[in-house]
Amino acid sequence: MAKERMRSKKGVEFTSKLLIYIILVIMSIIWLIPFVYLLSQSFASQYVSGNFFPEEWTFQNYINLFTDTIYPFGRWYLNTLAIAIITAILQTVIQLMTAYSFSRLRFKTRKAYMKLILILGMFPSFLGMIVTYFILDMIGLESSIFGLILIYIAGSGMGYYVAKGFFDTIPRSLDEAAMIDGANKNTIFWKVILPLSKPIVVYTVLMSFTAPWGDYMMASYLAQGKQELFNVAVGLQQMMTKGNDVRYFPQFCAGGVVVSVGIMALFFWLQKYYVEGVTGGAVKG
Amino acid sequence: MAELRLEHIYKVYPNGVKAVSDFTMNIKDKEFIVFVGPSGCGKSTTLRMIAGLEDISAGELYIGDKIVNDVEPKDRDIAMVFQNYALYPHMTVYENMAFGLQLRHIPAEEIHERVIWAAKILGLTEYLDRKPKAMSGGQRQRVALGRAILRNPKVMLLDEPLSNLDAKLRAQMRSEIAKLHQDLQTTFIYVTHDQVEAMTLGTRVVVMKLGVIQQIDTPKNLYDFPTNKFVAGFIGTPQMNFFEGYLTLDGDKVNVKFDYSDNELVCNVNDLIKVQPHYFDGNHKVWIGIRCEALSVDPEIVANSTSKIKMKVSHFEELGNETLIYGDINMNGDGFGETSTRIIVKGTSSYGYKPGDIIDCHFDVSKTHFFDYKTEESIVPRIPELNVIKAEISDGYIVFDGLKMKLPAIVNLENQVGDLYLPISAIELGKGEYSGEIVNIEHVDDKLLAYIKLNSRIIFSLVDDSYKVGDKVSLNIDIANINFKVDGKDVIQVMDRYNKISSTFVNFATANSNEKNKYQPILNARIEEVNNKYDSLAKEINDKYDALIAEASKKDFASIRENNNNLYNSEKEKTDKLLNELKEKYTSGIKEAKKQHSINKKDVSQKVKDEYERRKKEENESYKLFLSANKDKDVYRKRKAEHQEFKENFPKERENDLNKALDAESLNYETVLNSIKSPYKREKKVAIKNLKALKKKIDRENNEVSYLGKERENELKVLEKSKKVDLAKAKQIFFFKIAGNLYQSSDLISNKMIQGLGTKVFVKNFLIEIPNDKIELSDTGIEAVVNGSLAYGEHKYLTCDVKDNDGKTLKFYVRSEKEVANGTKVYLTFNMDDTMITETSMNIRIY
Repeated sequence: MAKERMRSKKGVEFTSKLLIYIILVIMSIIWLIPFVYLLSQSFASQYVSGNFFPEEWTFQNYINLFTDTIYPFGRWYLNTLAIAIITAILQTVIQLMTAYSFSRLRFKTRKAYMKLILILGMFPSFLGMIVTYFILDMIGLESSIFGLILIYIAGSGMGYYVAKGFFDTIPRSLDEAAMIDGANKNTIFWKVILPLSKPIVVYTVLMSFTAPWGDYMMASYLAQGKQELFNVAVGLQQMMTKGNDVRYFPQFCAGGVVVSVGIMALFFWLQKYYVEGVTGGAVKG
Repeated sequence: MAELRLEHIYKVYPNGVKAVSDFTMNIKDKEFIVFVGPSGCGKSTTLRMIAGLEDISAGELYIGDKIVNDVEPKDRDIAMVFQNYALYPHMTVYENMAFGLQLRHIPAEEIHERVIWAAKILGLTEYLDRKPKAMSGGQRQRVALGRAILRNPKVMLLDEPLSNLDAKLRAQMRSEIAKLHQDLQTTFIYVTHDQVEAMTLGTRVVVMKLGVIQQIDTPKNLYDFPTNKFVAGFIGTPQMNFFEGYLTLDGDKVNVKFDYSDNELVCNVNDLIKVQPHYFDGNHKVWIGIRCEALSVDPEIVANSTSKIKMKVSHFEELGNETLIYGDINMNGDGFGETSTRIIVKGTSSYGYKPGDIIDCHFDVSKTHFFDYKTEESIVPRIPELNVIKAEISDGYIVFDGLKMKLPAIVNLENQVGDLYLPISAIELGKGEYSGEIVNIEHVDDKLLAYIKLNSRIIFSLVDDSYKVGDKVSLNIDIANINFKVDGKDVIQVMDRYNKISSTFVNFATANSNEKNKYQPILNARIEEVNNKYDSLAKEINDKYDALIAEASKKDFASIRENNNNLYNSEKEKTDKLLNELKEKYTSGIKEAKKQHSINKKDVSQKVKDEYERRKKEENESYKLFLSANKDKDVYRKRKAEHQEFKENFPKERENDLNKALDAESLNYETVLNSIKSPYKREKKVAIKNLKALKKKIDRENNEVSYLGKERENELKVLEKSKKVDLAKAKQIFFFKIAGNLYQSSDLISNKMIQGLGTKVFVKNFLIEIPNDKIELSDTGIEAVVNGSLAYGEHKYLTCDVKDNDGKTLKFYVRSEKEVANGTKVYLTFNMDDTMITETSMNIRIY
């Protein structure tokens, strides 16, 4: 009897699993279709309405992308890369330092600041866009990628929350041991805490890299239609306007693929640091 | 390597919680001090204050002769070991230990030497290239210890270092720490909640409870002479037995009555001679404490015993070498709950008793502790401060134990009977009209306590080692120090040594403006003093500079420069060559290690695979064999399930073992890598540093004149800075406002006040206690009106009325040989340094 019950339990388990997998497969197909379509169309010689896979495969779109004189994609790509790299470095440093201060230092206005940042973060960023533009105009950065970088890193400290949560899990006794060993706050941050925080550093770098990489709104607003200031998102969008959407569609798809390759490369490079348990052995265990 | 002094240390958190109160203690060089107490008693907080990880709210901490309240942890020359080890996980053991020294810019060769030395002491030599995660708990704690001893600190602080280890390892590390203390000869301060650690390790133990020191003593004294019920209960396993009861003196016998029980004991008063006498009246409830080894239910001992109580056995705890017999002295009690009738007796076996038996228990009264029921303080002082003797006043004399003592003329009392309270400080030996015989001398710490028999009464006095048992001594009694009580009311009272008056703290500006610039000259003189000091120091520096310049100008710099440059170039060449060699060695080493690693990986996984292949084959064969041989259906079903199980789990198990083996190999690989990397880094650093040092030295020699100028500039700058600090200090003059008058506070007191209370110091009230023999009559000072005089024995005193800041009238005693008529106005002066100062609202003792 017992055996029968066991068998039936196994049966239920099997059907429920089957159901879950079917749902997951369907969801992933829905999710993947646009990507597959983008990839396949990037190799199409021309856009044919209704075709999922191209009739004729070619690599020409990728070549055109970087040689086309009307749409200087190469320039956009370099713009974006420069903006994203500078932003990622500065933002990571500022954000982690802010997080560390909130996690470790006990100053009078600490709680007030944390609340203030929380509230400020609730306002959509585009609310301040016009004001921001006038301010940049005043200091002469209104049409320059440095103005854009300034905007991106200006609020870096506000994203401190996740990193603070991480720092909170690093035992304070490590800081204290380092203090007794003769380290000041700066040394503790760079030599003790940061090496232990690889996962959060990687996370912060990725986040602060992807945001400007794919940003459209601020970038198009500040570029003021000047092609040499576009980033990839603005540029590719430009490609699809002016009524030439059909002609440039495969090239647009190729652009999309190249853009995502950048992010993917970064992710694969950083992934090996993205491991848990770096704090192993610090304290009891 | 230093003395440590904690003076009236308080820790008050912003929310008002007092974590540590009035912690005062001297720690001698090379002592092993243990702080022990239940959780939340402030022991760790105190340690962290010593380390500098917590601020000190009030009080001073001295390391050596220096106040270190505001000194950064790194500059206190202490080392600390944490409960959770706090090793840096991204560094190898070597780097962990060297980190502190590197931050202090100690030469790499010396660091290396020290690390190797510490590793040898702690047996870590083989693990230097491992990371903490590849080590066991005991090893990690050893690394933490190594990191601490490496710097050769003045004080080692250990915060529950063993509580994360398992029992066996703990015992082992405990003896290692004890050995370390012997080897290093440094002051150790150790925090624990484990009384076994406290008792075994400490040369002295501090027992704390709720932020207050309960007792500081050697482990033996803590066990034998606990000062209160808490210490008595905290130290010793199983806990001391506590009963409630009363003591009644009847002639030379004392009757000990137990509450909630019919038990009573009668014993000789000599067994309880040190118990404070007023507890013998049968009205004061006391705690009767006795350790389980002072009790016995061994039938042989009980048969010969004269002091026995009855108990009902409830259960036994067999501990192997001994047995604990639990019971109750109340025949209705159950002996399980921790009540004031439960009794635990230590024995060698259960002696054949059964639960429920009512048996006699030997009770050794001389090993009993007594505590006041309310305050829970011991009422058996080691040195009884008071001798209390029945006495009577008759015709201007106090008569006690056949002795007669004349009272001063001003004490005019009727004849009456009462108790004479004779503090041991009032007894002077070697002179005087009374005599007695020393019947016993007891060592209490470094003091000698003599039992002196008068006619029939024994009184106590402190003696030096010239006295022997059996000596007849003459003694004198200082009448100013005695009390005489009738029915608990004072008839003759000891005069207060301290006059108490309230005061406020005032800064210079306020004081000076109130007193019309009276204090300006004091300030000017102080500033002048600082200026003079620094002027002469600056002159010294300038003179030295002139002399050095004169010497330097005689040198031939062209040839010096050439020589130096040649030297530098040849050194640089050598260094470059060395660096190249090192680099080569390093790369080849890494390459080799990588190769070895990939070979090892293959080997390891192959081994696991082979092993599992073998197991699979075995199982399959045995199953096949079974199938062919077996006929029984039930057995078949069982075996089949087993085989199924094997087949299902086989891949998982293999995967697990494979991962384990590979993990071990990568850990091994990492260690190998570190063992190549760290010496390379180290040697490279040393080579580069040496070259740089040479370059610096050459630079200085080449351009000596400009360097001398720069050095002078720097020295002057430093001097200017410390002058500024000193000037600021000189300008800080404070005053106490007492009875409407201002008294200048000394720098020492001012520092303590500001340190303790910050700016709040100006709004608080302080209680000033002035000893009556340190007050002088003078032309200025506190106004007082004399209203009487006392001639007490050798000294004469005036009593006066003094009005405090609020206009309240207070009574002052002033020792004075002058005769002053009643009603005369006098002025009292005193020195602030002689007083005691207490903050009144939080009751913090400041000076």
